[in-house]
Amino acid sequence: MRNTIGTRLTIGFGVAALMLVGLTLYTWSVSRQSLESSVGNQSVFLADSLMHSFDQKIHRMIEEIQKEVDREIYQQTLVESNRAFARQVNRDEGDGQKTAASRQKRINKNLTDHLSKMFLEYPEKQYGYSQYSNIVVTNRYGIVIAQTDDNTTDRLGNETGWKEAAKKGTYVGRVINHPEHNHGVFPIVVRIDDDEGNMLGLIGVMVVTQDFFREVELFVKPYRSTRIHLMTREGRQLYSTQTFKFWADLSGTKKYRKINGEKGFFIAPKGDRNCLPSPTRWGLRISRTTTGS
Amino acid sequence: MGFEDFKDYDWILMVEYDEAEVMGPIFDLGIRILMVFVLLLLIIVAVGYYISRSITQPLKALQSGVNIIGSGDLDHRIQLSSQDEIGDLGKDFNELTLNLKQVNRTVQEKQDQIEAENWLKTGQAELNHQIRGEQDPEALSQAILNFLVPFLESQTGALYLHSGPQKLALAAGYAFPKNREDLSRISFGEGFIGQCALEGRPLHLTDIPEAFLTVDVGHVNMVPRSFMALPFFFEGELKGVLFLGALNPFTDMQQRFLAGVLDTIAIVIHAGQSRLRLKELLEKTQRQSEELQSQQEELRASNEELEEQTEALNRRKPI
Repeated sequence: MRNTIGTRLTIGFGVAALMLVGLTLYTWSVSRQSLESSVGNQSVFLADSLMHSFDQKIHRMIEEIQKEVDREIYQQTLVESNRAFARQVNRDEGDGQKTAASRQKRINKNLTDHLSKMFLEYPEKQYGYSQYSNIVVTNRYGIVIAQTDDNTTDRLGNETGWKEAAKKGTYVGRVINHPEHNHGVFPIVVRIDDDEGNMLGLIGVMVVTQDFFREVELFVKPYRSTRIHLMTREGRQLYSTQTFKFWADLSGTKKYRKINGEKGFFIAPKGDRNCLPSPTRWGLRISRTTTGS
Repeated sequence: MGFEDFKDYDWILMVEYDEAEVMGPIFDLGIRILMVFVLLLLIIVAVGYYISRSITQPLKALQSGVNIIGSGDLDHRIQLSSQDEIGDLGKDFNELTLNLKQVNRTVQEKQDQIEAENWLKTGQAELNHQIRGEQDPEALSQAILNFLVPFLESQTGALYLHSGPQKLALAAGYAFPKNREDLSRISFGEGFIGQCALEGRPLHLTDIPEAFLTVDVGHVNMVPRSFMALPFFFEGELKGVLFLGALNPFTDMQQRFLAGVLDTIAIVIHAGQSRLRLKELLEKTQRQSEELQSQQEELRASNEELEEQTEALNRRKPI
């Protein structure tokens, strides 16, 4: 096949043009990936920052609770309750602790009033709302001695949260649906120790998640194009800066299925468009002053 | 300060952006890149076309020139304005063509020379062939004209021989008016031919006026435009004048040929004349011999008669 010089030159320039096209597309693709990566990493950083603020908020709550339970009313009430429970156990050797518990089923009204006043009434008066609900105090045996809501359970000693808090000092539980109020709550359980570090009992509060969402709204307000979704690890929707249905099951969505690992970002379809979500799994980090430190 | 990780209670927080919103700048960048690319592509195409054309056009011109020169036109020159290797190639090729033309010219000249030499030799050989044998001057003259006029692409010719003091006599003619009294005998200095005999050198006339001499070619009279009169000598003695007339001027080669054969013609004519004179002498001698013989016969008869008369006398007078 005979190729003229003109043909060869045309082919040469064509190849150069194609290479230019390739280089352009590659540059554009790299730029796109870089921007995607940059925005993704920024999003992850934003999510991390939010999570960190959540972490700090819960940390402050725990510290507030710890400070609160150092009051005399808790210490004294729990010491008396523990002593009475111990005597009751000794008298009812045959029936054991179960019998003693049923006999001990008496709510300390003073402590209950104090709990309502400190955790519910005061914040509502001060801030217009309370981030806590259903505050419960048990003695060292897990027997409920004070509670702000009606509770059919008089013994919480066998609950996982109680065991964990008794063992480690604090416990933060999973978010659960609170159907009555159409929002989520999660428990915080804090061990109550005497001055010598002996366990006197435990206090548990249910934290309303709404307060966290207010923080998110304030956080993302400057960023109009930023959307925040908060969900449980099982895919239950807790919050979104867009219209959302609380506790909706998102586990079947493509976006949820693409979430892998601790953090990352990806392109996912959303309606007739694509979106760039950057999910971050949040493992709550709580610091507390350990004994002897 | 110790830290504890409550991994069992993780939430998933998702920060989300619309891809179109996030990638808007990059799409804008893509459009700009596309526009720049299209512009660059147009520039590349234009530059490529220009460069390609600047290479292929001179090459095409060179190829066309080579084809023309290859077909034999060595005067063609390749006109290339490009100041590059192709332009240099064109110049080199023009130089090569010039050299080739020079070589061709030299070869052609050599060939023409050889052909001319051959033509001269062939003509001389043919002329020699025509004038072989013992012919009288008039027959020789006619044979010479019969050969020379067509051979030299002339239309007419005449051969005059020196026939007396300051006189030329028409010995032979070729498409030449023989009946004109004024042309049959010419004195030295008379007319073009007589002037040639007088001067003893070749005369050459071109652009002859019409009706100077017409050549009868049947029903049409042609007017020769070029005449030549060439005297031929033998041992310094004018033997005659060769006259030729042609429609076209005589070429150098034709003149050269004529100059070369004039001596031969002179010799042949001289030989013819010598033979003629010898023949005449022989005839005269023979006639004289016969006369002598006749006279001898007559003398012998007279002697015999005298002897008979003597004897008769002797017999009459007995002593």
